[in-house]
Amino acid sequence: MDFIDYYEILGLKKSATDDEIKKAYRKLARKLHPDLNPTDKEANKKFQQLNEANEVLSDPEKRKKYDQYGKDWQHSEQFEKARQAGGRQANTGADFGGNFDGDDFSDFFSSMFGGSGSRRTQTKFRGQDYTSELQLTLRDAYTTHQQTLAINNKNVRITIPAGVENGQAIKLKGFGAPGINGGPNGDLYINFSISNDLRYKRLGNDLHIDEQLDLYSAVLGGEITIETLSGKLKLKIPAETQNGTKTRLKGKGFPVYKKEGEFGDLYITYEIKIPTHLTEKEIALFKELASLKD
Amino acid sequence: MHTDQLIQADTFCVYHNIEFSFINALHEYGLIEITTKEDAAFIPEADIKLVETLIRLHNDLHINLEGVEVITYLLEQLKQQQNKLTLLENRLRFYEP
Repeated sequence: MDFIDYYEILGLKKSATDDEIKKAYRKLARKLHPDLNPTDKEANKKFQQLNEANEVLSDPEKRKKYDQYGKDWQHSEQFEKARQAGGRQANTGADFGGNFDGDDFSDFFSSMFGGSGSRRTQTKFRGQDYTSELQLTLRDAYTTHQQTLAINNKNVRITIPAGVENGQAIKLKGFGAPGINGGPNGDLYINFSISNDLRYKRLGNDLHIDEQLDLYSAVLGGEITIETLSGKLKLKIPAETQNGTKTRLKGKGFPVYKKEGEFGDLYITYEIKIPTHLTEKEIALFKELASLKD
Repeated sequence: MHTDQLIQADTFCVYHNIEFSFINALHEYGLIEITTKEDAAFIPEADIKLVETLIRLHNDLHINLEGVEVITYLLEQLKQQQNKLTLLENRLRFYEP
């Protein structure tokens, strides 16, 4: 357990006046308040430290005890016992028996001030919101499915609707940090992180794929079968299809989020594959073709 | 069918130990909606989180209502920018191998 320098947290010297402590706390609270930094975990952590520092330094009794033992706080209880044994009247003075949940305070604070702090005000605070990330593949996001997540030692089954976007968040109400002084629990936000797929590129609700086409089908036309996320599809290839030609298949793209039965489009870009390892006969025929163009 | 859940403003004020005048002031500043039914004021359940944030900004940080209004506007803008950033990141992924 490390010693926490509350003065350093507030950016003050040990000789700071009550007014300076108040001003420094307010200034930093305005910078680090969780409502102003909803997604910044570091700011939230610093805000807790700031509250702890203020809790101690703004209370004359707690400040006195903190100043008295400082880095030797670990021995504070021994000092107290020795004092009591010596017949002096021990007066720790501080009333730390508030009903505030001490979880917000560091181990250092708990060791020094007896496990829990007392809030001068009994304002009910909603618990902090938590944010978590859930990795999905593009194929996972294609269908509505359920996943079981372990949240605060509880298994929670969530339904992930088809069509969720990378970076999109869903809220699980009440699964955040416990409320303070009887306030409601915070919420849990699950951010979806959808990994790139080798075959399919997603742009909104549309999907894009590159499909190789043999030279002969491209020149003469034909029929090919392609794999899509919804199954195999047969496609007619018009004669004289050029390299890079793009075809749109309406409604064969990605499902639209929370709009059942609605899909984006699938765009297919043809890559014409030039034959290699030609036989002598093939070379001769290509030459014959070429001579026809002369 | 969508049903609006409403929380009675008086109950909310008792719970948070605040005066109704504060809720009314938030409404007058256009920051929250209040629905009146049979002479009783109600706050939509969907707005509760926002109202609690506004109370904290006002009480914890001693920010007056003009400041709260500006912060709310800027936070909303920040949220919109973050959504836009996510959208652009997703578009950029299209060009990644």
